[in-house]
Parts: sequence; structure tokens; C-alpha cells
Amino acid sequence: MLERLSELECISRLGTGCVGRVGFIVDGKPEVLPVNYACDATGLVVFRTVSGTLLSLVDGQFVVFEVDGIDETAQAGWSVCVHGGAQEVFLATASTAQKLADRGLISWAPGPRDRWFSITPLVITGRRISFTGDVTKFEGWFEGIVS
Amino acid sequence: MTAADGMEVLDPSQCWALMREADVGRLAVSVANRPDIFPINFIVDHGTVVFRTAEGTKLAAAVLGTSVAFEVDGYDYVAGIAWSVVVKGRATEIKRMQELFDTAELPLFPWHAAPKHRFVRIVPEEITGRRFRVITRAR
Repeated sequence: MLERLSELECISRLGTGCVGRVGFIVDGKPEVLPVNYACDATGLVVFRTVSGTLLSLVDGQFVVFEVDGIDETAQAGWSVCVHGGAQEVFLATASTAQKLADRGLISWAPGPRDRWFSITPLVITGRRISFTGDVTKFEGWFEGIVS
Repeated sequence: MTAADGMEVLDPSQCWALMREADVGRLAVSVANRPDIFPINFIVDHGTVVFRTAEGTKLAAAVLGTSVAFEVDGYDYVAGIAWSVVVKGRATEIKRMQELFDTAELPLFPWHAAPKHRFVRIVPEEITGRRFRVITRAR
């Protein structure tokens, strides 16, 4: 059974994660990369990357940010997407980013992650898919049934 | 190969081995030149990625015949090792009967293929992977 999540529920679930995936377009083709992130109560997402990666090209672009997880007790999978504009954030001038830094946006990956980006949400969508079969087999939870 | 900063670049066989252990990946597509991401169950089949989608869905419409990027990642809490693999290629519908039959035999599908389902294969043009020791687990 597919259940749409309210925006409030989406933001609440965004706040529980620390790894998400950024989807973006380069030369007309989709790209996707995992990032560590932090978010605030409006669903604004901040992540870090390093110069020279494809991800450092997202400034000014429309991107999508996705987080998903499994509610093991309820036998359900969920996914939340934030669609919005990505902007490079300069810490010296951006109090929002500073606040998020204070909240502990920590990069798992080695090496410097000195470029900061925010994603300002335009649309936040989420869904939860209940599963009635064998809970140890996560097959069939997501198969693109979205609309 | 491990760079000085501890980031290990995985070769294709290492990438496929890690992907075979995973159940869920994230498919990035371009819809009207805007990116979207769908989490999907998938299996690895002869050096390709296979998943299914329902007829008439947004995903089915967006993905067939187009370039896609597919990402799988994992984190071993005990070892403190994280990895990520990205496959880029073209998504094609699996139509040939024998091919469909063979695919339905794969463990992706615990029941027989319903006629309303479409099977999609991503034939990779590029596969890249990274693995590293997580430097901080606390958040």
C-alpha cells in the first residue's frame, strides 16, 4: 500500500538521516551522488563537497535530494525527495549554513570537503510503501509506482 | 588503488560484487531536463542492472530509452567502511520473450511476472565506485 507523506512528515524524516543522494543534470544527462547532509525545519538541505567533482557544478541548478529508509517494525519503506535550487554557500556570510554547521554536518569521506551547498526546497514529496510479505526480504518495496 | 587521502577507487569487478549484495538502489532520471530520483529494488544480471516498474507510471514514462544514472551505496557499521557505486547507461525495456522469461527466473521476482509490469535493463556505459573508512560516525 502506498501512502503519501505530508510535508511535515517529510521534513521530520529528513531530519533523521545523515546520508542522502543528490540528483542533478550535466550535459542533459542525469547524475547521482551520495552526500552527508544536514537540514533545518523548513526542509532546507546543506551538504558539502570538494572542488573538481561533478557535484561542485550544481551551483544555480535545479536539483533533487533524496533520502530513504525502512521502518522495520511497521514493515514499510519510505522515501522523501526535496526538489529545489542548489546554491553555493559561503560560510562567512551565510548564517543559515553556520547554524547547520553548529548542528553537526559531518562528512564521512576523507579529505577536505570545503565547498558548501544549500538546496532550497520548492517541492517536498514523500511516500511510504507498506509491505505484507516476508519482512526479511525487501523485494518489491520500490518499483517506481509513484503516480 | 587508494589515494593519499584514503579514498579507494574500485575497479568494475569490485563494483559489481558490492552491488550484488545490495537490495535497493537509487535511479536518477531527467524529466524535462529536471532531475528526479526513485529508489528501486534491483538485481545484477550478466553485467547489467535489471529492475521492474509498473505500466503507465511516471518512472516507466521517464526512463525508457533515455540515459540514466543508478547509484548504490552501503555502510558496514562494524568495519566503519562506506562505499558507493554509480552506473551510467541507457535504460531499455526487456521485450524479447526469451529475455523476459530468463529475467522472470531471476530472484528479483518472488511471483510470476504480471502482464502489467515492465522490465527495464540498464546496460552500463560507465561504472565507477569509491570506498573509504568513515572518519566520523557521530553526528
